[in-house]
Amino acid sequence: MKTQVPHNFVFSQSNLQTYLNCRYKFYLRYIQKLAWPAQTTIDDLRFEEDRNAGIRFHQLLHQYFIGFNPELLIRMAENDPDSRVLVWFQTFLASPYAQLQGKLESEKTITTCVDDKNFIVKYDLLQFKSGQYTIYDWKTSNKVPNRERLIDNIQTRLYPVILSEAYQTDLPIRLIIWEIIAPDAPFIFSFSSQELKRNAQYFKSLCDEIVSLEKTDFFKTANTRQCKICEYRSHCNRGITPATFEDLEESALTDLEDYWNTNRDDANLV
Amino acid sequence: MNPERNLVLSSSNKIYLHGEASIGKTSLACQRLQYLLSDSTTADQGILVLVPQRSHATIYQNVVASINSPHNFDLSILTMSSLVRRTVDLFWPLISNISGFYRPYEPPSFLTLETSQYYMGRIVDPLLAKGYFSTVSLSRNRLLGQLVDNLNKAAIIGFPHTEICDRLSEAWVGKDSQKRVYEDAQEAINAFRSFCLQNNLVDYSLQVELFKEMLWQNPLCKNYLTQLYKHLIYDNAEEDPPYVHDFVADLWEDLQSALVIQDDYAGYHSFLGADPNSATRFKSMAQETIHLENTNDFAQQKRNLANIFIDFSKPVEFKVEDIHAFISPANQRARFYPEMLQQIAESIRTKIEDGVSPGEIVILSPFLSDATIFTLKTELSKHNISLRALRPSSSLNDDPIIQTLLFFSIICHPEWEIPIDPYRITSTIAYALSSFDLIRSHLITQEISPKLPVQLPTFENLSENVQSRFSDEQQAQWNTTMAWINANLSVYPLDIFFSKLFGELLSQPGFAFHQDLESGSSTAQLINSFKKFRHAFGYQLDIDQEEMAKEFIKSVQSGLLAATFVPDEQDDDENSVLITPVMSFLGLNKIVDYQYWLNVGSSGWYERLEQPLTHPIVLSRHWQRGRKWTAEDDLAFSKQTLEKYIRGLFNRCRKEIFLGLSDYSETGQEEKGLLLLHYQALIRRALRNKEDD
Repeated sequence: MKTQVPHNFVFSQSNLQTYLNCRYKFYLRYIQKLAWPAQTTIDDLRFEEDRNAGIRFHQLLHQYFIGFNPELLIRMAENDPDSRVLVWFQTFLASPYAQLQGKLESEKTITTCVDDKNFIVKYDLLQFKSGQYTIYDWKTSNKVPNRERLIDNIQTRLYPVILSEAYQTDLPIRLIIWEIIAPDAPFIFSFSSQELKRNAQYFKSLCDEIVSLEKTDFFKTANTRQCKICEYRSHCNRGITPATFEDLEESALTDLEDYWNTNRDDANLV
Repeated sequence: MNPERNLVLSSSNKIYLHGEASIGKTSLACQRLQYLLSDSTTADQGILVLVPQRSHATIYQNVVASINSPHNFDLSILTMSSLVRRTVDLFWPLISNISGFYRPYEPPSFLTLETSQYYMGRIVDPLLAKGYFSTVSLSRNRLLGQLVDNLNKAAIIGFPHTEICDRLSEAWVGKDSQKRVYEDAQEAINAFRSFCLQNNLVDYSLQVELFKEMLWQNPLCKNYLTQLYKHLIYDNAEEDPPYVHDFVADLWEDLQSALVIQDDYAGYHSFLGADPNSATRFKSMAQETIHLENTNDFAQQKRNLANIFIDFSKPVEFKVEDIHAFISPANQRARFYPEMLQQIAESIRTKIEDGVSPGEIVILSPFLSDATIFTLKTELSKHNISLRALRPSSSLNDDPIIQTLLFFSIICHPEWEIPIDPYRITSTIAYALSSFDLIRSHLITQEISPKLPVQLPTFENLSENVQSRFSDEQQAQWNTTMAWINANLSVYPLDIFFSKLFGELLSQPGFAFHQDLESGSSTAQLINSFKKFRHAFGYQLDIDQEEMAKEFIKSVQSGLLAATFVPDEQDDDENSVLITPVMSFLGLNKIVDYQYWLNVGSSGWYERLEQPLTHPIVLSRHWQRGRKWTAEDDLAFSKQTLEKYIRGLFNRCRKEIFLGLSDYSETGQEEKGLLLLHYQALIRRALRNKEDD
């Protein structure tokens, strides 16, 4: 049976999350590659501003870790068009993350093949110290997500698995998600080799399922709340106007922020 | 295993690989990439695949899919422009305060070619009003394009932009009034550069200059890049300008391995600064040189045929039948151009009926008109053959989907007071609202006041006579449309407006874009274009959204904004015949069974475009300053160009080339350009041989 998935397809956090949200959306966006530029929410402009500020903040941190003079970076942050960027950067400089030791690789992209499927992930920072890998993820969300939701999040589960597979390591791996609006309460997840294997198995099964589906198996989600924040709404005859900010539940909000912030999977390509 | 393959399957040598097009150079490079990615010691060390154009990346991206090794690979597939832009963006704080920018600690705004031309227009318009460039007969867009091109040439070749006028003047042999034009150009260019520095605008020329002169000299940046890339595969080096070769040459010592590939006889983008001569430097730098040559009989015959096609003085040993077996008129010589297009469509139909895949057929011309595409599309569609046109430089405004979006944006923004042609109003309503026809649309158009702004009437405001001509369905759809328009007046920024228009109205059931896949990509393209336009205005909070949106609409309408976006999949559609300009086809690195050449008598196959403000050869690194550009130089340039095209097209054809010949060209003229003359001379010489026999 011929798979619907393109032969050069690369799985990532955002396309897997899309699949779990709606198989048909995955089909349209990644298989049919259908551009459908309707609004995702009434507040697209706000999301764009947030995303751009977030990108500039990540850039400052990347510059910090590759050796730029912090005073020069403070000056850049002071002149940033979004005043939040300076606050965020000062918060970072005052945090323990500005003093990390060990081998540090900022904006590290990992591309690897697991069970004949290709994956790509991009870590904000990867640290190797005292026989342990730690992945850092800087977040500039407007709302702090709850821990239970993060545990089940594709990103939380995928990032450590890809690291262990790509580096062929059985060492335990930590993932630290640092929300800039809650700097003193980072989310720290530790993964034993058994947990990594269990998660690896989950992703193998998930990807096997995706590549085995027939076109008709990519059906529309039954959860029509998803359609309110989906650009393909009109294509699927599932509504006219997009969601307002107030319409969104916390989970949808975080998904959208993920979409805006991480939809950069092809970052190392032309 | 052949010796070439042995050499490329290595992670420690530096190779220069060259040969004709379609001989397998890129396949060898893909094997090397596969080898590097499969080896856990090299895969994580940083591999850079450098390509001259985005479209060349796909083949290397596909290699990634074939890798089945469970280790990390650190691969970047980039064009040099992309690498430069990212580097300038990342290292901006290190250089912005020493580069003359007025606001060095604020983020820069990167300009695209289009937004550069827009800003150049703001500099040039007051100059035009003062009488500058008065002796030049060029459209405004082409004038702006050539000014920006001059700046870019100075950067990529490597001379100060302030020398452009001097260099062009030194080579000029005609009337002195042209030198005044060069001075005008220099003044505009200098003012543009000052404007960019004042407003933190970084156009392509500034990106290249900042990269070459500052970042690549900065130890932090240089160390970062040299640590990032340890293995290099550089394909089609001849299509890049010399500054890229300088960069690779500088990187050379720090690389653990390198494979530089050059296509013999190419350099098709020389008008944009591509420099094949500069690329040959890697031959002497490499440890190994591999020359690939196709030695099979057919390839040898094509090579011989190309040689005698190009050179009148060479004896022709082929019989006419042998020549026609590879290159021949598509059918009987037609009198008129449309007749010839019909013959070509018929010939293509026969080929496909005989089992040829449509993807193995390409129709080529030095330039492509809408009429040619439309005619061929119509003719081929009669036989269920699909035709896809690839015209990377066509204007956004040529697309009816874009025209529809512009129409509604003008209607919804009465404050712009932009007029709309009544014919356009009629045709757009009939196109956009599925229940409407041209008659009903025309009735509405007639009810519109000629005063600006253009305002569509509600159903109640239509005369009773017109109302009575509407069906219930039409009335309901008109009401829906008008309700949406009235609820969305003056929405800014414009990209949000386009998204709303697309999602809430035009892609809904009963409207033109519903389920129409092409409308999605065209709308996305327009939105993307506006976003770039908006971002070029920087991060200033006091931007006049109304003025900016109006400027954008005018720029699209004037054709300034081009549809440069080419979806990756376009190259791989095997179910349709491709029609494209010759230059675009040569840039695709694609080989097909059959080629159909149109406008064979045209001088467009070899002549330089009329470029009174710039010059691709005079502004090249090899031009000797002080030399004059003469008519002989022009002729030699034309012949070189024709030779490059002929060899390139011959090498990209597996079976046959058909010439579309007609007595009168598309414009009704009898054209006898060099290509036609060379072909006729070839046949004459072959016939003479027959007579001699």
